[in-house]
Amino acid sequence: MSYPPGQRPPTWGGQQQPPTWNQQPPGWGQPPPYYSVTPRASGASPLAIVAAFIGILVLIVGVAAGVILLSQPPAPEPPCVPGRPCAPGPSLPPIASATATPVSGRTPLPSSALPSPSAPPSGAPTLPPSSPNPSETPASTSAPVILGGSTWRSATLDYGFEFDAELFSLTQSTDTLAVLQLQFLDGTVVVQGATADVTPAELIERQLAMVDGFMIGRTKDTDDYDALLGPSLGYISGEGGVYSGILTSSDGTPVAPGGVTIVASTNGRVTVAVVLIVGEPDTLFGSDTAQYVIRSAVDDIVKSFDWGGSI
Amino acid sequence: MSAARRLAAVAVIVVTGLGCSNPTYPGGGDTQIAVPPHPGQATAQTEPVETGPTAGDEEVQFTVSLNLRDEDGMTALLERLNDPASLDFHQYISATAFGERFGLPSEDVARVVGWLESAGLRAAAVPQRTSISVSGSASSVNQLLGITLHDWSSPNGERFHRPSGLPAVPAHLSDKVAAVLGLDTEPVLRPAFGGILASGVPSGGLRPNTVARAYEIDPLHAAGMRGEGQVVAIVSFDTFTPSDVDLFDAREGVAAPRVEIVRVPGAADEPGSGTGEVALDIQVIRGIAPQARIINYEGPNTANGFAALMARIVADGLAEIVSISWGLCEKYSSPSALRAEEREFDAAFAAGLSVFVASGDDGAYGCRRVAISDDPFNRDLSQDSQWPSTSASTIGVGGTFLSVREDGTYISEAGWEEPLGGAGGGGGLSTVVDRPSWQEGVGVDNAASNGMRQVPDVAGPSDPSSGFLVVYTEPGQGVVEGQVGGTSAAAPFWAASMALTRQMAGTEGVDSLGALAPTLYQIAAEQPAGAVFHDVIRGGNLLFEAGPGWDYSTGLGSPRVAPLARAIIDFLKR
Repeated sequence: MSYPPGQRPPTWGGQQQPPTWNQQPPGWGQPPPYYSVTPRASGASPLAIVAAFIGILVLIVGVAAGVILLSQPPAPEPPCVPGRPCAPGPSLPPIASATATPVSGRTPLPSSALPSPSAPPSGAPTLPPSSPNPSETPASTSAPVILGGSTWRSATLDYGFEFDAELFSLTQSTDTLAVLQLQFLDGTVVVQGATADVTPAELIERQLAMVDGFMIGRTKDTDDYDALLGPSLGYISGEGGVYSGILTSSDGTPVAPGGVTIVASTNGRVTVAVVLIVGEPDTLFGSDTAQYVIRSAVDDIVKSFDWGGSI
Repeated sequence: MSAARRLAAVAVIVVTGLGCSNPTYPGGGDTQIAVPPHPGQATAQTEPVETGPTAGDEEVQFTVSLNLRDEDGMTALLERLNDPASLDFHQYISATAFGERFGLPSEDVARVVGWLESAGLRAAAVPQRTSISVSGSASSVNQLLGITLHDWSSPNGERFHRPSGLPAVPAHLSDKVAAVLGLDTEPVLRPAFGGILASGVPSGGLRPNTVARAYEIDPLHAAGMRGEGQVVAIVSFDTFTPSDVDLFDAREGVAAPRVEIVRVPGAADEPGSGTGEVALDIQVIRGIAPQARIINYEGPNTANGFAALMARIVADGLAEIVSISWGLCEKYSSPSALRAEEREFDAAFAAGLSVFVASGDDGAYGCRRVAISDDPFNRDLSQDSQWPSTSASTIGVGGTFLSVREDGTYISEAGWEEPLGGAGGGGGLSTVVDRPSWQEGVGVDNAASNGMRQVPDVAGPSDPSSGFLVVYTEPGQGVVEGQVGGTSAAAPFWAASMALTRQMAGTEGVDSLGALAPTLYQIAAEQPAGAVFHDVIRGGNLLFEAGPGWDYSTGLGSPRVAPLARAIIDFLKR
């Protein structure tokens, strides 16, 4: 499915478009930048596959994101518009500041606890003294840092994640909701938080109910290839599932095959679900499907997830 | 590398399919050879197509694996090599000594060689008497073994051959021949190699300075250890473009010896789909130990390709440290073939070689990329570990996600797992290899333990999100530079780190590190937690979680190289 430059995607569900829809998604109507970023590559590029794929699909993304948003209960604050302040919603500090934050963890061993070096033979090179044992980051207090990305954090529930702003654009943001759109492929990521009185299973059901607002015939995806082998979020095990169905337009007309991947976990304080909606999920990228490729990309969000606070 | 480029890399990484071959292996006692049943039959996404009989004059290669005369004696020696109370403790033996003590009598080896040569084949036994490398015309091979070699074409156009019929060995030699390996040349070994996306390390990927800072290699460099006098062997089932090394050297300011190549018969003439793997291995080692002599041992990518290459490495006796970043899940190789290969790794262990092997990139589900029916999306999701990281004579290297500060200093690591994409550092239990006596310590005995080999032993940076910046020539695409990960990176990372350790040891009168696996466990048991290993305590491998002590995701952990070097040297000085 493709749209001419400047033309918006069709409206789904007869609902009012969220403000972000008045803007073209990044890259809309423009050749994807794959063509210009192959350093020193020559000859026929396998990226042609990617380009062809992109040319064919072009962004159902915004549609899915919009539908989800429209299905949300009224947000405490109006949705944010990218590029505009969104107080008092989540902040987007540069990741560089996060990387400078020392991590808490195990007390460094005193140097006396280290193995005492034997005196080397005369003239043998010597090693400078070792630094104390670098601290490890206890689970659930600080996720691995991804340099060069952006961060999103819930001000009230104090969880957050990092994302590569070159890959994802934040299209919607409230205090407990972030919607990101993959820049170059047809994928939308929804990160929904709640207090821990909502279980992961309940949060998954809520999210799937929203998905059912723009997907018909949703069934469990039983392909082993698509299986979630170890659902987790921010290194806390959770629950999850993979589904397939048909994405619909506003009047219920089938538009394209869709795939949904969802994981949810809780740290006992908050419960968070990550939902990924992919259009044309089985389109092949070489030997892998679009859904697989996009899921791999979203893994960076999942891995960087920071539960914040204390359990 | 731009985001688009990185995303595209996900799509263009070519992974050799695990369309499982159906190799034939000799049994014993009769001229007719039995074919051990495969536990399962993997099917590529599109089946290979037979294109006709192999031309009679085509040169083909295979390996005849030999039984040992004294396998029990060899097993006992391997135990004593690790027993501080034994007079044989760390008394490693040469390939020739291994052959004389445990191999078939030389006259028996000569009989097998004579039988092969009688058909006009060329046959060369290695001094450890574990195997014979054979080459000759297809027609001669067909006639000798009573088979017919057929050409096949894989879905991506790769040509290979498979035998029909069962290879026959004369009855009088059947107790001497353990297996005939390599007649099926379908490329099934897979590099543990991948590249993607965002980064836990400074923009572009891990570079030598960052690695050195993060893992405390800097102190060794500062002490003048850059790999001088050390030899690291790489086991490769592809080759590389030498100018790629030049590009790396220019980028990193390295002036170092050229990478050497040793080819066994059947090795690829030109870089293929695994060339990125070879480039990764070379560049990771060169970045950490730039003055080390790197020998790239290249062989044909077949289901049991390790046998020929390991036999050659042990026979050459040049390298004490070996890096392997290829493998396949145990389930899709015959136990008899694995045993034959294990002998080669045992000979390496007996010779004091440390063989670092990537544990694979599919988490605890080592066969995940194997389609088990005509439906390419019908995958094998059983728990399985990847050979040869599960060998009791190698060091399995698992994967981590590394986070560092902008200046490269270490923040943390997590066991590498990608819950949505399904990738992760390999780890779990072998179904073939018993747990060696030296594998013990905190965490080793756990709820999943069943007496079989547990992997990995150690871990290193593998998540492509904290991958290494690698430059290589992709066939048909040109030179590409990108962030690459996989446990493929962790194995050479460990190999290079231990090359520096060996150099340091040499300055203190310790000439050999020996087979390091037992030493690493013994040191881990003696040292305070965190003193020489980063004990990775979060993350996992999609099934097993990382935790204090040894675990199935990261083993003993990743190295703090300088303190670990100190501990190893002190241990070996006792």
